[in-house]
Amino acid sequence: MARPHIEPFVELNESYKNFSLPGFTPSGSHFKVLSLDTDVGACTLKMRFDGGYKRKPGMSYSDVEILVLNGALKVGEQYCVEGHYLFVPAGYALGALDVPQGCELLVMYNDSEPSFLESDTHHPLCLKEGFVTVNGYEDAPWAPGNLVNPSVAAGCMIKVLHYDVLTEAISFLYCMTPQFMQDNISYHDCAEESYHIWGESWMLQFGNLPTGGYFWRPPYINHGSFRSKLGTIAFGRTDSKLHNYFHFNPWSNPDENKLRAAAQLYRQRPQLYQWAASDGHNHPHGPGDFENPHYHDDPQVKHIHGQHDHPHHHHHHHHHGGHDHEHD
Amino acid sequence: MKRVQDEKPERSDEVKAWLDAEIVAQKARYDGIVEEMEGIQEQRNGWIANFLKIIQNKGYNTNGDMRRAIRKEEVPTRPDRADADKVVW
Repeated sequence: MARPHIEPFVELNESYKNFSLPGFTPSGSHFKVLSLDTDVGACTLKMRFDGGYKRKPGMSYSDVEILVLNGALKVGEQYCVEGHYLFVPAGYALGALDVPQGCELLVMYNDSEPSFLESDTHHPLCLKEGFVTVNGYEDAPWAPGNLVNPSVAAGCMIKVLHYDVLTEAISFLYCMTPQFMQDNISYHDCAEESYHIWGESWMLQFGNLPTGGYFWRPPYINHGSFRSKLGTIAFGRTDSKLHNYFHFNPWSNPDENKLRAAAQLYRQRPQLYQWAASDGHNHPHGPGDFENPHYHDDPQVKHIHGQHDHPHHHHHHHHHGGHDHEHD
Repeated sequence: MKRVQDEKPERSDEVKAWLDAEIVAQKARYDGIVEEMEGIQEQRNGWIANFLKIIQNKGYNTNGDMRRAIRKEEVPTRPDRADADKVVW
């Protein structure tokens, strides 16, 4: 399986562990796993670097996303303070880390387990133009939630920090105003992840999520209705396009929700539905795209379709509309 | 087109051990969450009852702040199946 449904999880109740993986100095580097893909090792960590922590420049074999929660760290020549967001493509030689007085971060390894290779030059295959560095608190504007339509209710706003053009996966800050309310039940085609930086919210299924609250929610799982009594600011991510399916049945399950989503596709994009569903057009690794001819090799695209290389290279059987496709 | 991710070295024993330990810890975390969520079912039943009242008088949010009031005959009822109260999947 990929990542299980972790919701709700309040990480403030958990202790840090020392980070002892190769490349992570055992002294002064600590972690908590918030969620973990049990196949590929992709994970979301909360990390703490103690004051005085230093690390030489280096790269990871995974795309990495970082959000500074508190404190400050110097990355190369840049000071990153709370609210700072980095998207570091795999193979990108990130500058030396210098943490004067300690900091806490969210760190997300998108493709595989945490890895670090000391290097002051980018890997030759690195897509270095994908590097993003921005302070989400100071340098990104709040946008209304109707960036996605159908939309959340007024009072839920969003700052987009990263957007993947192939999958439309987004990473963002969002907030709910005090006394925010939205009386519907929601689900999505994508996995959704959230960490409450500050504040609280409430959902019909899971109750209150306080500061330090976290979830990783696979697709098609009901959540909401929603309330936030005192307001909240949070970091969120999706692994592909975010579409809001709203309804009012508290008891529908993920299979029923997926059928309902497919029924909408059947009604609203009939030609595409018919083409994809018909025999002979069922491409398990994706149809051709003249605009993006190499998209099949994109790690995020492979990831959301469960295509990955295991260390033991076992076989998968994928079921696509009644067809079995086998691959290594 | 080859990517950096394709050149990741094989996992070392140390990395495998780290992953194994964290997978076990995550399973325990997941089980704890399931238990906690099953433990608030009675409270959740009250929340659901309140939600079903709200959607009949104020309506449910169809898009943004647009609402539609649900007629009594449209109100869903709890199905008789094992996963009816399941919220963690």
